[in-house]
Amino acid sequence: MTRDTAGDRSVTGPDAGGWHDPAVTGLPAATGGTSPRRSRLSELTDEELVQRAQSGNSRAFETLLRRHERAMFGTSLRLLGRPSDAEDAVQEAFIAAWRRLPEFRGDARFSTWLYRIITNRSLNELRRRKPAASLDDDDGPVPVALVQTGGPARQAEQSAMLTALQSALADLPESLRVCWLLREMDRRSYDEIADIVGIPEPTVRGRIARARTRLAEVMAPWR
Amino acid sequence: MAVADQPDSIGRGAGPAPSTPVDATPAPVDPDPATAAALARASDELGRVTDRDPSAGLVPAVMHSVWAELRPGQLLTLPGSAGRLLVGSAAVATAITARLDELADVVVRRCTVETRAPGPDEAGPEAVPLRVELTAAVAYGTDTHELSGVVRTTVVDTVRELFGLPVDQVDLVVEDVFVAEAGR
Repeated sequence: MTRDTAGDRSVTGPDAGGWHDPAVTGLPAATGGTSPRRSRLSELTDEELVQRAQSGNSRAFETLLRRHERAMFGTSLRLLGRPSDAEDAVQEAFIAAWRRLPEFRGDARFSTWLYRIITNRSLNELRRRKPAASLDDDDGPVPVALVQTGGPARQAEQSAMLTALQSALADLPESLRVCWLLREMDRRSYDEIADIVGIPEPTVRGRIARARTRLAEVMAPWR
Repeated sequence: MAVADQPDSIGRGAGPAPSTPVDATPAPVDPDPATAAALARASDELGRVTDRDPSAGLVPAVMHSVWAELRPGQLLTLPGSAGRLLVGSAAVATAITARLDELADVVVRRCTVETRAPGPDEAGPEAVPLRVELTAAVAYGTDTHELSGVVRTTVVDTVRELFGLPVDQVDLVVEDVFVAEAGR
């Protein structure tokens, strides 16, 4: 890292000479060179956007949200089943992320941090529901009819298979379900899941393996 | 990392207790290939039906709350306003960053604006100049000294033009180098 400040600290003001050119009177033009520009917000990395947002730049934070909203919504939707609940959870989580952004130190990826907040918010919502609430509660899981493809027989098979899986997921202990979903649906690494859930990586592997075994038992009739 | 968001709530929460201890069950047995394939098909289906965008209003609703809770930073009195026109230092920083985004070879990561401690001959709060600290990445091959001059001029002129405030110190920390050909 180069700290290039020494020259400035001896300068007491623009008119004291040195780096300020008094001939420049208008707003500065882009005179920095010929390389491709990569400073538009959408081109910045999460890390760069986080640092800007931590400086109070709300547009940088908005760019982060738009980048991750689909993934976070999917995660919440798979835990909660109802799109409206998932949206509420994601909204609460994003606001919480803004409030807690000054505490974010960048030791893990921003997305990992978001996954953790989203997962916790979604689980809290599940716990607020009636004790028997699950992915197949009164309002049902994600409406399969909205996205079915193929002919009637194929649709019926898809619908039944999906219902069976969702029911099996609902019967899993929460800790197994979360690890399995993060691995198989969100494609998170074992290491990242350990970070999100806050448990050792070997425990993550064990939970996913156990979840897989239990789910496979339920899905055996669909072989 | 240490994440502060309810760190113990996953897997150890208040939900219904599992019928068997989660991590004390017998070692799992791999399902036969046909069953594994069935599970994979069902998983793909679940992924497909849940891979969707939230409503278009989600982010705007969040930003409505964010804007209500902006962290403006230090409030700076604009010259000639007799203390009745203030601007947050975060807003000044955002303006500086936006202007510097026009430069090709530098990406500002963090911008901090604060008032420098007033000297004994400086009359009042409106006369106190600002100190700006930038952390940035620069394109590989850039003449850093030349670029820093452009950056400093840009900062001073931008703040003066937009807010009428003086800047007398610009600290630039180059914390990374990016290769422009790779797009990052």
